[in-house]
Amino acid sequence: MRPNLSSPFEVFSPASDLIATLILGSGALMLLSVCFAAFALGSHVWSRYQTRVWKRQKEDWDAQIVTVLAGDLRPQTLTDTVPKKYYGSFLEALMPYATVVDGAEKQIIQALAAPFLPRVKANLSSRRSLVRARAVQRLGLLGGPEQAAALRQMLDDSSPRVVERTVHSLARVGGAADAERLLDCLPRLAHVDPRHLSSSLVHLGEAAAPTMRAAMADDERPPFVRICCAETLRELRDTASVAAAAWLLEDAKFRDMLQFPKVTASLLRLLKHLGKGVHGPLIRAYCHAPASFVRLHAARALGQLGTPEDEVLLGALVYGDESRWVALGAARSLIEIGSITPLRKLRTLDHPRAALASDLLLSFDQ
Amino acid sequence: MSELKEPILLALSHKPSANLLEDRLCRKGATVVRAPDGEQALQHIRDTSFGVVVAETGLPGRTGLELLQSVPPLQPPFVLMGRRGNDEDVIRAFDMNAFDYFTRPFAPNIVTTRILRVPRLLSTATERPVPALA
Repeated sequence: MRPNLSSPFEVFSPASDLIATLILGSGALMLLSVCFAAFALGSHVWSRYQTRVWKRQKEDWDAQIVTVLAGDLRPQTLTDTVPKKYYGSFLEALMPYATVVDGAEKQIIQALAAPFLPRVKANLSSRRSLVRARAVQRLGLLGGPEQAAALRQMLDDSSPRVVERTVHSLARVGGAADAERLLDCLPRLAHVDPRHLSSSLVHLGEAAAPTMRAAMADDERPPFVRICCAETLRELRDTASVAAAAWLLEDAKFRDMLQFPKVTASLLRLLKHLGKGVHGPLIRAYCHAPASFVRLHAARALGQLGTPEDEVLLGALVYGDESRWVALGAARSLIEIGSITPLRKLRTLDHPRAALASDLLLSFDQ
Repeated sequence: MSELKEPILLALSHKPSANLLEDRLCRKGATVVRAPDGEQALQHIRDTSFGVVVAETGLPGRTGLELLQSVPPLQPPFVLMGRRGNDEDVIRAFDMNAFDYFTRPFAPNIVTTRILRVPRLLSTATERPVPALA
């Protein structure tokens, strides 16, 4: 007997409905997954395509920048071909060359960047600190002294990242007149390596040395600022600062040595590079300082300024100093002053530092 | 035109520096081989005879100083590129018989001239007759 069906749908029981719903749901989910997969694949292909296009564009710009720097192409001929919306990418391609060249070529780089710098300058007022920091960096690397006024205003920025970039940039495009202004900002950057800052401050040139000397000797300045100044003066090879450093070390022997060991270490580094044999007795006193890194810098300075009579003192540090770094520094200095005997003897002994002496003598003998 | 018979190896990881120097050296008639890291540079030095090796002190893989140490003095002659203010590297380089040293940033024309004079000076030195003793 056939069932009486008023509608073909009546053949489905509630269980069949559930199965149909599940099938439809699975189908929809599968379709969604396929859509997502297609989207992911499309994005990947698009991203690879964009990367390839950008790489080709960058290589093209690289070649043209080199041609412009060689004088075979006018800067304007290249800048006219750069689409306005890609100015940021062009400046990114230009920036590595700005760190490489000097003199006349540096001016060519500035000419290549000049048409785009007003747009960069507009980014100085962005709400995002990253955008401001990047703008500051671009102005410092690609701009000239005419950008200094805009950069000076950025020294008061609320973001330490922007201030740090501004110090680097203003030191490049500014002049000695900006030295005091830059030193005033340094306490905000105490988290930065002083040598990193001094490598930029050195761009201020010899004319900034008197300001640096005064700041280095100033007890009222934070130790971080004094360290930055000592490192900058060392990089500037400012021989006039040697007398100030020696005077400070003489005066600080008992007072500051415990308070500002990092300043002391910087002054010793300055003496090591620019001092003379007459500073030997002063340096020797610091070989017994409580801070190990002060002893290390004193021992290393003796490598340059010491005499064969320092063999006993340096040998004692190699054999007996509690810090392995001090021992290593003293051993290197022994080699530099030409006193190898204590190291040769140490190598043959059953001593914890015998391996250190052996390693150093190995490279010396080669 | 340069009278360079042997190629010049540019062992520089910093691409813009390598681009600039390669361009200038090629314009002067030199043949340039590039190596972006120390391992490749060492392989090139073992395989080929170079007139000069220009190496970066901070080269990845093997530094310029390590490369210099791994070859006999002036075979080939080395010109090193370092960063400004690193006196100790300069002293070490010359102690290890580097022929020349320059820092970044540099004036490309001057550095090119300094690189190209190396084989010229060396060949002059070897060709010069030993003066007779009185």
